[in-house]
Amino acid sequence: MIRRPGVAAGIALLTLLLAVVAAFTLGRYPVAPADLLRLVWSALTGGAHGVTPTVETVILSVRGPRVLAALAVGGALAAAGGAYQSLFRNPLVSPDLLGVSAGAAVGAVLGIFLSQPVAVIQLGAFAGGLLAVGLVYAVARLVRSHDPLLVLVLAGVVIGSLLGALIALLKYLADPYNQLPAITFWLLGSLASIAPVDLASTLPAFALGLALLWLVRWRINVLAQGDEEARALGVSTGRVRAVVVAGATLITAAAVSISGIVGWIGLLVPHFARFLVGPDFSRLLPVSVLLGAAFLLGVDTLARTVARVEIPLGVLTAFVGTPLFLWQLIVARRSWL
Amino acid sequence: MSAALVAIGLDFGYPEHPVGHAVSLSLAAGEVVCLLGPNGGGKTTFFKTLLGLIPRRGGEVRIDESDLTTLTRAEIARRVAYVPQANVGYFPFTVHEMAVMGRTAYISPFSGPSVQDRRIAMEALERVGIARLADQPYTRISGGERQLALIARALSQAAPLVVMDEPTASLDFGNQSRVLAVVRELAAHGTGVLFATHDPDHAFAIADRVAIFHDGRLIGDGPPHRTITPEALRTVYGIEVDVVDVATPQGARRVCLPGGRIAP
Repeated sequence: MIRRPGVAAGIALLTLLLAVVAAFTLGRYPVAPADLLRLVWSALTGGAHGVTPTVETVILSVRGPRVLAALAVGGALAAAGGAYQSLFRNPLVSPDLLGVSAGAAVGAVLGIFLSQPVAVIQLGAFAGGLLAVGLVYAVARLVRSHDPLLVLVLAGVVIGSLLGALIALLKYLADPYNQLPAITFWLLGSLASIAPVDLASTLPAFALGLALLWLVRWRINVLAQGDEEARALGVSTGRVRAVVVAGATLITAAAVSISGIVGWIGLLVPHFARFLVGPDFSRLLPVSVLLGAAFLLGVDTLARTVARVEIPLGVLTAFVGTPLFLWQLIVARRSWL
Repeated sequence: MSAALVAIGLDFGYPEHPVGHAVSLSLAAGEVVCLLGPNGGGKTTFFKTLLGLIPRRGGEVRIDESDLTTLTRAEIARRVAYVPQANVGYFPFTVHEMAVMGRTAYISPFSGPSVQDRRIAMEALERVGIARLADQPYTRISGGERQLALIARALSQAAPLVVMDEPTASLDFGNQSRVLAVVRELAAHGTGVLFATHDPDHAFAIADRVAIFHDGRLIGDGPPHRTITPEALRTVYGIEVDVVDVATPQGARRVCLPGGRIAP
């Protein structure tokens, strides 16, 4: 395990920078890195940039929003995954554990089924995600147990299953020529139709959720020792748990509302981050965000360049993520222990 | 007013089955109290109830005259520290980070540990003699070292009372002595320590008082020399025990020797 947080952060930033440059320059319309630099420089200094209008459009209007969205979604999912892995003391946990993705999917699929505009579909996804987790929490509170984590997980699994069945039903009832392809496409995840308004509308949720996770960064470390020990050390575990779930749900619901279902980032990236900087959440959170952003940006760039047709994000993250995860398991030898 | 943790007629256990009845026990600053009883007898359940980690079935627990249920977790943590039995741990926090977690009750909910918190934790590591392990992952050190790390964590909590659950369990001969010495030294500095053990020799070695726990009740509470008798040990453990005084260069010491029928 690398234990120099400065080095690790440097690696993460460098990776991110490379991913950003690659994302802007690669694609069906190649952009020279020099042009990119000229544009950035002119934005910083206010002078003319001398770049053709086409290139400027590609960079600012076509690729720019997509790059920002990939960074935001990747960073958000990684942060939520890291938080849940500490909270549930289980490195195999993903942000979907309490059903936020299933809820968001129901919201979005319902919106497509009812032929709603994109904005409504996104709002439906966001609201669906929040409501699903709210429902899981309410169900968990009904059950009296001295293992609150287990009850939460079980409620999440059950509600998640129920919502999955609802999605299957909606797919069955949907119009196979118009709605079903849209539903399937949404469920596979994509950033192809990102617009700047998507970023603007989800920014508050991203910011608030990340802020919540950052604020309780120390309590999360203590919670990772177990509920009883954390309480003995002076933590009001129920309250901290609620804050972590609220923060993670906000950022995951926001991410899913603009990108669809993208898996593996929340599970995989925190592993690498933990390998680099250890489990302390005050270091794990920023490094996870940086690596998650870089990872999703890289995968998204791959998705639109590797073949003639764009590959859905959720598919590619699984194809890329699975061998990486296996490699990490073999090489790191249970590094979380 | 010195610190005190008092259980009054405490009934404890789980909803499905009760474990203990009408247990009254007190711990004051500066004294070492040993809770002696067999494995699986309910000592851990008692401790968890005492600290409010599991709900009580009846009776009262008071810390410094306040009812436990009226205090927040942070308030309780500032008055009583808990040292559970060391487990392997899930995430490789360093030993120093583990010790810093003892400061949590003094760290406001939305901030992190201060430089002073980290320094106090390092001093705690030095007090138990494991400062050299400060940057080692907690998950990679030995069982005895982990137990000492948890004791250091309780020390950095700076609480006047400490409750330890079988702190010498699964420790080797040397580490057991080390832990007992640390407990004695804590009391010498004014900390009150309540520790559970199954070994009566530990009580003779360091305890000011011993409470004998049998079948969910206390059957003795007093100085070790008066309370630990062959009769009491026979009741609790079901074996014949010789309690003898041995002359050592440090003076007379009392030890328990399982006697009777240990057939070869």
